[in-house]
This record gives sequence, structure tokens and C-alpha cells, in this order.
Amino acid sequence: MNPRLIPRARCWVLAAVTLALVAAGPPVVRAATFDDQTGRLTLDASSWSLPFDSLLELTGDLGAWFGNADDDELSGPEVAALYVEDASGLEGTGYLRMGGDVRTVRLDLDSLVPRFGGRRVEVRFWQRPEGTRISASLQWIALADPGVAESVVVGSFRFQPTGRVTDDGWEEWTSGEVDFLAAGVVPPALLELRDIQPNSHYSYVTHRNDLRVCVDGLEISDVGPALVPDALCTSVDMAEVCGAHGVCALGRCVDSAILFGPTPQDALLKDQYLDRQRFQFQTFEGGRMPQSLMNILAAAIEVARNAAAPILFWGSLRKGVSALRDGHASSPMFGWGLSAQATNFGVCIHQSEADLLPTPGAAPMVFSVEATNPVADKLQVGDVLVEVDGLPVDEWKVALDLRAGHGADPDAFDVTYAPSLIAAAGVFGGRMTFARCERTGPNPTPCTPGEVELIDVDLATLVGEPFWAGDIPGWLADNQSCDYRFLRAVDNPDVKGYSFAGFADEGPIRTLIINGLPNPYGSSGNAWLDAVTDAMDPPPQYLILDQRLGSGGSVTTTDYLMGLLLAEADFDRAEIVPMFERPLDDTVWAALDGCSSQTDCASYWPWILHETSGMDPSLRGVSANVRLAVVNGRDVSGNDFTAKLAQYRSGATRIFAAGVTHGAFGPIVSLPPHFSEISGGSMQLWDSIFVEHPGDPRQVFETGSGVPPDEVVLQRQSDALLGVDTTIEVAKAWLLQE
Amino acid sequence: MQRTWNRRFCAVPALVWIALVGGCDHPPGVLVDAAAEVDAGPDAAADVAPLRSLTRRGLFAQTPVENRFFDPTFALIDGVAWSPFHPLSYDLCPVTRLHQPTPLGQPALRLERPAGQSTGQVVGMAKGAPGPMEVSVWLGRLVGTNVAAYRVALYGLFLDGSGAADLEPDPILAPVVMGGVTWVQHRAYIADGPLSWAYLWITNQDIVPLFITAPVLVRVTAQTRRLWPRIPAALRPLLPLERASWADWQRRLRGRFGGAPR
Repeated sequence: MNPRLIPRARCWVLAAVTLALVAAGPPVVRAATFDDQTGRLTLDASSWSLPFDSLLELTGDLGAWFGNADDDELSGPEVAALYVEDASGLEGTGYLRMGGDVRTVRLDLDSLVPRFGGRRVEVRFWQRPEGTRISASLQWIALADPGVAESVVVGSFRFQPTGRVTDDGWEEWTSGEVDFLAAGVVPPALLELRDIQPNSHYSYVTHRNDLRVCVDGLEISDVGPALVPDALCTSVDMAEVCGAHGVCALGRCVDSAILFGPTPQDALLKDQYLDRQRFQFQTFEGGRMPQSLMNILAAAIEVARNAAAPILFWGSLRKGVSALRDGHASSPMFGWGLSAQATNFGVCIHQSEADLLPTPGAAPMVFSVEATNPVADKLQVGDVLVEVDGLPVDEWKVALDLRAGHGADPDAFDVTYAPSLIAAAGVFGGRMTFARCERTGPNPTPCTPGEVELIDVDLATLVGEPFWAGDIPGWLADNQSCDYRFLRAVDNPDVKGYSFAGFADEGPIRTLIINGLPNPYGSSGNAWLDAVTDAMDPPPQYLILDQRLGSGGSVTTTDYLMGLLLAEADFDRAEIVPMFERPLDDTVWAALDGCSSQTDCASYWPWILHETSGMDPSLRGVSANVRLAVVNGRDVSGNDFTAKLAQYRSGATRIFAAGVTHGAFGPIVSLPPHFSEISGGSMQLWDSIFVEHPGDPRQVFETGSGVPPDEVVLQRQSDALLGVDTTIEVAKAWLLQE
Repeated sequence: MQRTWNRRFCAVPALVWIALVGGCDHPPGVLVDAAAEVDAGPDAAADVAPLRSLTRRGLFAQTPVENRFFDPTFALIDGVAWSPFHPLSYDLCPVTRLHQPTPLGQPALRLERPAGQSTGQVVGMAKGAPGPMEVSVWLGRLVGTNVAAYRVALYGLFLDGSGAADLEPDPILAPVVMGGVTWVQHRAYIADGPLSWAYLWITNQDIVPLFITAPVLVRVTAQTRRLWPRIPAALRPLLPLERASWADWQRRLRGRFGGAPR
């Protein structure tokens, strides 16, 4: 605002407000100051600073640790050589120059708890790339007793640029504002500076040992009292108890900046970041249904633009991207912590039919318990999860907006998300209530209300209290892979593994179990191909394709499996089609069809079944006439395709499942990070059309709508108590009906 | 010494100064001078040139946010966004992402040829669109090794078939020396953009490294067309190596029916 436009009366009001602010306490001075006349930086005297002028700064309480590419510690002369004396440098009398063999510097901030405990801070530093750059991160780590448990990263995020740079290459980076302590007790254990060269994003990048980066002017500013109260909370009262910036984690309020990373701090960079997010989804997204829903993402981006709290900023992006129904899309990830490490304590629950409860219906039910710990010990097969933090499960999922992380066909959510409910409740420190109906013997009858035993599992008490007290239980790491199966036809220790394929016979019925469609190259891919081939050689009379865990994979293996099960006359091709930003009319189709080969067509690609895998012609359709039951569970991408292609078989086919598949019909690609995110997210650049016969119209794009089952089947609670896999029994009955 | 306060808090001492020292009788315009006076140190060192000056840089520096390259900053050398493979041998071409001064402030890529091969190449994907488009990229050699043994082209499928547009050195912009590299901007103006995904194909035909920065593909608007009146590039047939690299890229794509994102 132009000061000349301030009227006199308003000026006095401002002055009065100013005086009131002054009376409330000294103005908080933040950030190093840059002197335009000298071109030098001065660190703020009231901040905690690290000018990198001497090795002595890093000894003692900071416990500086220097590491090489193998994370081996460096010391002595190697470290001393990192200091560069330069009185005309950015700040002070010198700076740190790392890179080459010195990949990592870690500083222990524990000694700063007396100064910054209960406060909100911002960490800034400057770097000057000389070929490479530093990725700085803050990490809040709950330390465990060695030998008892594993330490847990409560939260971690990378620094971001402020937009301030000098004409000789210095750049300012900031952590953003964040409460110093997580839950009032866990300080940021580490401030890590790492050469970005050995980063997983650059898997095909050649590391160069001659690149360096200079680091200078690190300071931690006290920007006021902690924003999030040190308080007990639950998932349902956290907005009220923890405030707009807080999240309930293991029963205590934690600053959402610690868990998700701060928002972009600079207004211009924030706008540009969000503009790029919008642009890349609008321009690159290949799904036609996602494109039709793009206004939802655009609105979510505007919410993020006005959001101050990290949970709202990153949450809005996540929700907007998920709303596109691109099962391959994910929003950028800026922070990493508790939710990524959450476990199910060795208990698998899946969406089921709770037919023994007084009010039967679909609900998550315990399929298996494979651990001994205070959570698992309370539960047994057949227990039904009915409430979390006092809310019915479905209401709790809505209240916590858990669907926001599910980018696929919404109808797939309840089934695919069910096994994640325990981990989700664990992150919040929720109180789960299970209902048990004890029955033995055949033909069990439903329980009356008085017969139902309610079992409370209070994760805030069992996990949260010891965790925040510094006594992390070892069983916190107990976890079981959940594969949506109540029973497995094949007895093999690797039966839940992604690359597994195996089969077993029961009378005339053969059951082939797969969990995905692994890349055919390499030993595991070869073993998968061998197992699938053996399962069809000779073709069985009846076949169950049990792909209840279908994690997708390679086009080649998808083509191979379905090439065995479909005759050449059954199906012609799927067309993998990108967006053209112009009508997909006859002119464009003519250009696509006129490509001189299948490899230079704008990334458009006709996937002709039986040809892509290069399968032996004698194997094409070898099991096309087998009576086939396809059993789905959580099926995505390549396993969307197997489910969809099964519908084109001329041989008798029926799909059994609790819900629809994801509807992710196309390849996935990663999105580049633009703002020092851990991941830039992902999306599908293509959509798919299924063409049954040559010459059929090419009209319907499939992304966003999963393959529904011909028969909806949920595992019944009554069967679970008898040790019976409901879905498989229903499938068998249909197969033998012939 | 002058002190630059954080914007949010600099108003506090400034307004205090107005209220307590100047009151509100002074013209408000004095605020600027007052702030300078409050911040001014005893020694302004007016006669000595500053060692450096402070400026600002946006997220994509001096390149547009609406750049149609999938990855304009070389953050994903993953075989799809940028693919550094020799199309015939499948050898990995040595590439390194560099953070150093460049003409438009963007990271650079250093490209070498693999041992035993006569060329090294990298291919990056960009999204075409209907209507006129302009593609540009800066290529550089280390000062003193300024050999022009390289090719750069955008290839794709156009309404009348597949083809490539060669990027040519900008006839107006002089080369720029930054970070020990002599940079030359290359451009091509395309009358009607490629259908969907197109590929920038850069091949280094010399033993010395080739430096690459700031790839940009944008639609040409009526306004920018006036600024850059150009003759559209003639599309030529694909070279065998270009066709092979396209086939290699597609081969990689077909392995990517990944699962649900985490």
C-alpha cells in the first residue's frame, strides 16, 4: 500500500495497534539481513546461528557427523578441508564446501531443546551450487532403546527455496515455520545436509565426484510460541483440540508441518508451484474421465492457494488429485513420517459380510492374526470392526476424509482400503471397537445384542502413551501383508509376494494364484511365466484365477496370461491413447493409423493381444475354452486389464469379487518434483479403448471405471468361524454347475 | 550497516517511528525515508562496490510455468521423462544434472557418449498441441571446445505423418558464456504442433561433453508470434537413429503398467 494514501485517523489507529503489539513483547526479528551496499550477509544476533567459519562450531553438542557415499563416517583432515576461508564470502570469514566424497553432514539439534522447546522456529541457510546442490531436511525421530525396538521417524521434510538469490550464485533455503517439538516432547533429532547427486530420482544419472556446493549462514530463528498445543486428542476432536495447524498423532497434537511438510513459504513460488500443478494435470493427464473432472482439482488448488496450514494445503492437493479417478495419479509428497511407517500389528482385516451380528451388513472383519502383542492378542478371526473413536466405521472414514487418498474408482474404496484401517487408526491413536459373536459348529445363528462381546483396542493407550514417553514398544513394527484372501489354495511361504505365481488342484478344479504381473525379465519374472505356463499345460477342466491381490505390472506378462486364456478371435486389441487437445476425429485417427510402424505414433499404441508378449503361436488361446472363475480383490492397472479382458472370453467366464477393480487403464509415470518434494506424484498419460473385433468403433475410454464382478461375494463371518473361504466356495460351485 | 527486515515485521518499527517520533503530521510518504534512516548503519561504504547483489528467482527461473516439456528441469532421468540411452546398443549415455550458472537460471544436463559409441544422446518428452508452437533449448560446450558436432530436433507425429523439425541456432541472440560454458540458444518454429507427445532428441557427436539447459515448448500466441516472426521449420523424415530411439522409448513404456501409487 502506498503510505501516502493512509488517512490521518487510520494512521493513528495503526500507531495504537503498533504500540499494543510493542507492549506485548519485542518484535521478533527473523532471517539474516543482506546489506545491499556491501553485498554481505549478517546473521541475526537474536537467532541461533551457524556461520560455518570454523570446525570448532560443529564439535560438542551439535555432534556433527560427516559421511561419504557409503554412509561411512569421515573425520579429521577430510573434514577440516571442508572449510574455506573467504573474508569476501557471503557471510563471516568462510563457509563449508562439500560434495565429492563428502555427501552428508548431520547435526544433532537435541541440545537446543532448552532454548527452543515450546517455541516455533524457522531454519534458514544459504548454498552456492558449484555443480551440485544440497538437499537439507529436518527429521523428528522418536528414539528407541537399541535392541528393544526400532526408532521411528515421526516426521521429516526437505527445505525449500525462498526465492532470494545473489548474482554470484548464493541461494537462500528455508525449513518454513514449524513447532520445534513434536507432541511437546520429540525435538528434530537431525538437520541433514545431503548432496542431491546420489538421489533415487536420478537412477540413470552418472555421479560426478568433482561437483561441489558451498554452505553458509545457517540460523534458527524463534518466531514465537508453538502453534499447536501440547494436548491429548482423538481423531474426531483434533480440529477443536489441536487447532487448524495440528493433527492428532498417536493420541497427541502434533504440528502438521512436521508430518506433511510446511506449505510453500514464498507467495510467488507458491503461486508458481500451484500453477504448475494445475497445468501439468490439465495438459498431461491422459484419462478422459479425469479430464472431465479437472474442475474439481482446479478448485482444490485454489483452496490450497489460500491455505496457511500444511494439513489443508497438502490435503487439498491430495483430495483434488484423487477426485480425478485416475487410479495411477498421486499428488506430490513433501513430508514423510508416521503414516508411511504405520503397521497393522500383524492383523489383517478385510471388507466382509458380518452375518452373525444382530444388524448384519458389510464391515471390515479380522481374516488373520499373525503376531503376539497387546493389540493382536485381543483379536481373533471373525471379529468385526464396528467403531473407531466412537463413530461407526463408515462415518469415521467420512469424518477423516480417508477417501481423499483413493484416486481410483470410488466404488473400489471400501474393499481396497479395509486392510489399511488398523494402520490409519494407529496413526491417530484411535480407539477401535470390535464386535465378537462366539459360535461353534455348522449353521451358526446370528448373535442377539446381548450375546455380542465388544472388544476395545485403545491405540492411544497401548501405543501412543509409551511411544511419546520414549518407550517405543518393539511390537510396533509387527506387520502382516494382507492379500484379501481368507484362504490360499497354494501352501507356499512366498504366496503373498508380488512375483509369486503358483497353482494347486482340488479334484477337477485348478486354482492359479497371482499377485501381480511382474516384469518378465529376470529370475522372478521367468519363474512367474513358467508357473503360469505350467498351470495351462495341459489346460485344466476348470480354472480359478485367484488375483485377489492384483498389484499390476508389465504389459508383456498381462498379454501373455490373457493370451493363454483368450482365443485370437475373442479379442483384437486395446488401444493406448494419449490426450490430443484436439478432437479425436477421423483426421487424427487417420494420422495414427498411418504411422509407418507401431513405434512412432505420438505414443499412441495399439496393443494387439497375443503379439505384445511374443508368445509362441501354439500357446495362443490354449485355455480359451476352459471354464474360468476370476476372483478379484484389490486389482489395479495390469490386473484391471486382466479382469477386463476376461470379459471378452468366448469360454464360460464369471468374475467374483467384493467390489470393482481400480479402473486404472494405462501405464503410470512419475511426475518430476519441482519444489524439493520427496516425490512429485504420478499420473496416467494415456487412456485405453478396448476393441473386440477389427473394424469395431473406437469410442469408449475406460479409465476411472473399474471392472465390476458378475457376482458380488463378501467373506461371510459365519464361514470365517468355520474356516471356509466364501468367495472360493461360491466360485467352485459355479464352476461345477456345468 | 543497512538492515533489511523481514517484510512482515519491518512495518512495526516503522509505524512506531511515525507514531512516536514523527507523529502523524508528517506526510506519509516519509515512511520510505524513515525506514531507510532507521535501518541505515554508520558506515554505508558508499565508495566500495558491493561484493554481490540480491535478487529473486522464480520456481522455473526465466522459463515459463506453462512449459510443455514434461520435466523441464531434468529432475527425472528415469527413461521416460528423459531417456539417456543409445538407441542401438541400449548403452547408458553418461548424463549428469548440473547446478551451475546458465542463461535462464535452470539446471543443466551434461551429456557424453558411452564408451565405444560414436554418439551420445538423450531424449525428452514434451506435449504437442494444435496450432503454431515454438521449441527452444540452450546447448553449450566448455569454453575452448566449441565444436558444433551435435544435432537437436523435435520429432513427433503430425497430421500429415511423422517427421522431425531441426532446431537451429538463434540468428539474433549472441552466444552467452556462463559457468565456463559457451551457450547458444536453438529454436524451431512449427506451424502446427505435433499430435500429443513429441520428443526432443539431442545427440552429441563429439568426445567432449555437450551441455543442455532450459528446454521449452510453448504454444505461440498472436502476441508472441508478433515478437518472434519466424519461418516455420520444414519437417523432414526421421533419421534411422531417431526412429530407433523412439522404438526404444516405447519399449520402456510397455513395462509400466505399475500398481496403485502409494
